[in-house]
Amino acid sequence: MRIYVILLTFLLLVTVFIAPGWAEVTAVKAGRILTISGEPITDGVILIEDGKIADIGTGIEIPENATVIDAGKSVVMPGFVDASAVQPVRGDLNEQSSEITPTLRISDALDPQSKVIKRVVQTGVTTLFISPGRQNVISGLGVVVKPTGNIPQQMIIKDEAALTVVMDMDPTQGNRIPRREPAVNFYYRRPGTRMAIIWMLRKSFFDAQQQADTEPISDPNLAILSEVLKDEIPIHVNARRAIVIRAALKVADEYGLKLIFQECTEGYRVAEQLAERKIPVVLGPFYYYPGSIGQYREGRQVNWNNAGILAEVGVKVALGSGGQPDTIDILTAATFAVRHGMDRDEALKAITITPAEILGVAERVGSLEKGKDADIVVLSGDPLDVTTRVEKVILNGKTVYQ
Amino acid sequence: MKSRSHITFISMFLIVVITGSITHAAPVRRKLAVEAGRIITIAGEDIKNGVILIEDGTIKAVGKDVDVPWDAFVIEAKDQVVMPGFVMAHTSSGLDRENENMPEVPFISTFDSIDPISTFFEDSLRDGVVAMLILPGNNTLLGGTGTIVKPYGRTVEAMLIKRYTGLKISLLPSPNTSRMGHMQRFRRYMSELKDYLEDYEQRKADDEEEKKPFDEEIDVTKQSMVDLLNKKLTAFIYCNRAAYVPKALEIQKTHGLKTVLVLGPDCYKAADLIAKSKLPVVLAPQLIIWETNEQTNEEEMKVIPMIFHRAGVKFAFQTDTSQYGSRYLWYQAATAVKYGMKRAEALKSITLYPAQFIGVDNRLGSIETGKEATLLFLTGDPLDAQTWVDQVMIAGEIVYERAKDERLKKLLEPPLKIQEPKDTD
Amino acid sequence: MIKKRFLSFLIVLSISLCLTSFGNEPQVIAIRAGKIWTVTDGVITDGIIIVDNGKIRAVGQEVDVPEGVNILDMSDKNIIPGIIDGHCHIGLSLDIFSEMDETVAAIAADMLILDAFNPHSKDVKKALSSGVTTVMLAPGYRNPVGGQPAVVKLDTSKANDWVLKRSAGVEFSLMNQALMFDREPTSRAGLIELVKEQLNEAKVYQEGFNPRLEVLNRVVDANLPAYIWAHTVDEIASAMAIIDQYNLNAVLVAAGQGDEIADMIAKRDLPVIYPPLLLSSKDKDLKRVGKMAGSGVKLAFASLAPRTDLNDLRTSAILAVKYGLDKEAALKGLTINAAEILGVADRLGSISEGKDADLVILNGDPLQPASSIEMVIINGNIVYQRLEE
Repeated sequence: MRIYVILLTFLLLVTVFIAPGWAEVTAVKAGRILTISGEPITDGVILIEDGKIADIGTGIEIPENATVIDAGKSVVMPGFVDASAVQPVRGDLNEQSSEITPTLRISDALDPQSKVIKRVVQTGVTTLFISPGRQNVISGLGVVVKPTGNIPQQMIIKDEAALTVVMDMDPTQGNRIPRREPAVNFYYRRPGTRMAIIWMLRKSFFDAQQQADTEPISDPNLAILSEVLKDEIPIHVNARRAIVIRAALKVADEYGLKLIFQECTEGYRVAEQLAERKIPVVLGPFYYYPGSIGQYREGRQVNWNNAGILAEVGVKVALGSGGQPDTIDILTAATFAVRHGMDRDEALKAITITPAEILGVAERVGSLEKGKDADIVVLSGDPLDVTTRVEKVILNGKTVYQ
Repeated sequence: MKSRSHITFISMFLIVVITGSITHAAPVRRKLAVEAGRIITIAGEDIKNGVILIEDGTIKAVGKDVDVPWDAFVIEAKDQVVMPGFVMAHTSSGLDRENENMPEVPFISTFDSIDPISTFFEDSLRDGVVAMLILPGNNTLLGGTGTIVKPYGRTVEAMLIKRYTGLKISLLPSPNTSRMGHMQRFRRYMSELKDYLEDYEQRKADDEEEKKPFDEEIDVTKQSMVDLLNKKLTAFIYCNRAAYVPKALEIQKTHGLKTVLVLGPDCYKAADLIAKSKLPVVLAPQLIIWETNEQTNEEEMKVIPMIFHRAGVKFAFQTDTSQYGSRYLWYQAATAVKYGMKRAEALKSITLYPAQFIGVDNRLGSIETGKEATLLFLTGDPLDAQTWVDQVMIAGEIVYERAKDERLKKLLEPPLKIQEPKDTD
Repeated sequence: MIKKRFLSFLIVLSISLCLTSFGNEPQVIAIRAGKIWTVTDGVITDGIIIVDNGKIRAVGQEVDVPEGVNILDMSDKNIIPGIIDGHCHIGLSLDIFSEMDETVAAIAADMLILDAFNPHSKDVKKALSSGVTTVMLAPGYRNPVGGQPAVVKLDTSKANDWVLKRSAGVEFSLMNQALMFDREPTSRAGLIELVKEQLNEAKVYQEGFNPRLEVLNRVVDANLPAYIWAHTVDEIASAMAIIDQYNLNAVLVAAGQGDEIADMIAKRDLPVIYPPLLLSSKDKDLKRVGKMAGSGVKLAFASLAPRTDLNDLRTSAILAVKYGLDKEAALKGLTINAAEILGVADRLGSISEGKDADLVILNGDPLQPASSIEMVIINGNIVYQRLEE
């Protein structure tokens, strides 16, 4: 009898002590590892455990039971971070019943089955920022997600990541529809001019500021705006033209807001002011010609080297796909930014660590460092070469594309 | 008396010489030698540190050990790559309107609607295109005839390389028509044309029999279609979907036309059929499309140039000026290389093959003795995104220099500093 | 004198008694059947059902048939409990095309679907001929916060109580069909926000005169059931988040693609009213029902008629069996599961002692397409009989 007890205890001890050693470890070997956070590593190894980077460098011992992914002479980079409003949601991105909808959470509309998500992961993007649409002045709260999971909750890595505000002419399009009331009228008009848009924005923040001393604030819209005023939720302003950017800076001064600009097509004209105020920028769709987009009759100018000019004066620049992940992939955006004058290293940062920092998820993604998520892209050659292809994508330590 | 006439003669001679040299401030040099770090000939292997000899705008010699004549003007390009200029086998840009309202207008010509100051031409030259065949758009059944131009010149005459090239036939049904109706319209037109020709030949034969002079000309509205039937014009047939390809092949076979197929992205599904026909092909600007796999529900990327390449089809690329990368011919070639095409073949698809499809390969498309000295001077490898076109030479004359490209400078450099208005409130 | 009056009184009394006894149907019937599918107690071959005053008094093989009782001889037939349609919109079109969706107001919680029901509609007759004896009448999927469904028996010709539940709960829709371009909400995020806003308001509602908030308040207390339309995985996930947040007593409606997260649905004990399986459906969609049931989710079939033009619920069950559902579960899906989900299992859903005598008689196996329905009985009355050809 005693012998059985001893044997059992022995077996238990064995499993307790040996079991941890049986944890799943993956090792990625590559000819060139661009960590982004530091110097590139030649012939290095990345050890992945439980979806995180356990170790990275040269001369690392690979445990015996580890799964080895030998990427040969390939180049390895952190998974790309797209900080510019993408669309794996179902239905309209815009709520047409009001121009001010701060409480709208786009995370409620995520669709993990979306085709867009499946395609974007094949281009190496492992983290995305999804924002509500551009038809409302204050359109709601965006979310940072990873292209993985069965249900929306499994995709989200940072909910309520930023409040989206649109100050260019987009909210003037179309008619509004009635909200929480029966239709009594044919027309519910949207603001028609820039003045009106800025007025609505100012009024919203003014009302929120009035409530600053009340706790808790009963109006859910003002509650969110109040958190923005206190810097608890970042604010992304969508603006293309320089006059709109300048107007946004004025509003920011009045309410003490720390801004982040999205799109920023004419950013190069106000580069110094942005640098002075340390305002980061996420560049969106790239336009080759000045003029209008679609129905918006803006007199928009362009400079092909927008990214380079901004980066040179010290503005933090992230390159995004601008909501069109299907046609423009983020690596091509970086390659062309360099062609037009951006510094190589800045361009690589602009699709990895810089957007991660702007989105507030840099402790998890954006570079290859110990402790961060194992989101890795394996490329057939130099990342800024148009003939390089994405060979493999690893997300949270699992290979999701090859 | 004699000295006076001498003085007159000498002074007149001097006047002529001086005025001559003033008016020819920048003499068009007869003899040139280009010394390049790398020459991509397209016709053969690349040449490292080679020389191209040019005389009167034509290539006299190209190679590594070429004797440079003492009176040749040397163009130093030791740190550059020289290659033939890019050729576009089909485009409808640069016109004021791409399509005419009526479906059957084979008698009109793009020559009459090319707009030399369109930014399309300025951009094309900047991006290395030296010849393009401009044809009517895709919304007219018989759209009209095309024109080959170079993107350089103030007037269409100055830009002209070759008139009356190619006739556009589009199988895309006009609005409010079905495919059946569209095809029937074409067949009816051809049948009426053939009737007309029969009558014409009959009248000609009758007159000849009666030994009467026959000076009736073919109806001017039908001339181009007659030339098409006589293989004097090449048909450029547009198929926007794979389902139209068999119709295009039927047309080609029935009427025995010289044909180039202009394809939409969906036509990759008919790659084998097209390969069998051995017809030359111009691909749509969109080279990558995504499809959902019905079984696995996964998204699959289809790389169109590779599908055609593997099927054995010879093709040329098109561009789309509204798109990020595919506005450049070199980017299209680079995309094909990215997914497995050999460099040499991809480069041919933007130089030699389009030149062949449009019938200018005797002058353009490769660097060979006897061809026109129309070259690109690149800052690096053509398929490298960091490479810019530094200079463009057309028939021995430098027509574009990046250093003097004011518009490009404005698009790349920071704007001049302006005084920021002071806030008044 | 008194005797004469007394006599006439007796005569009148006896005549009226006779009349009333003729007016009443025979109190007791015995039905002899070749196969009785009780659903809860297995299949009884060559059995007898005794129906007394509209209820099942006894069922079994060895049952005593009382003297002088009418015997319905169905010894070569199959009998199943009356089919229950988990969700449909029949009889809702009187003056306008269809009143199943309220398309002007997004929030219609205080509306009763019963107000729009036409008991004499042709749909009702069609349903009866398909063996459906009880239905949940529900609003459609176009309202984020819709009306109150009802549970009714389809024998509306008699003056007896055919409404089993006047207000069976509140209907919610998280499907994309609830988004309209000319009525809020227009976006999914707006839809979720609207639903949450209503539930938040309802949570803090005190006694008052707001019927909308009144009924929603009872939903938040896990009192009144919430029927939530959610078809795709993301819609179902949103539904589960709301169910968790507001502690709802919920049922998922039309959760056809839920098989992918069936374990999560099963873990929460969420029942599902399954959308109809059609002959025109794709193979891969038909396979889902087997996976769902296999993960332990309770399924009841629904016709969603007349939107899907299917009044034959039986076809759903038959197709389900073909694509992986076992026969027992399929039959349960037509009967007892629906009864349990709708909260009427004390009276319906199986052939058991004490339950209502709602029976369907077929000339063959109920899950074989070739079998036809010969007779339908509700509360012991014959409401449908197939005409001989």
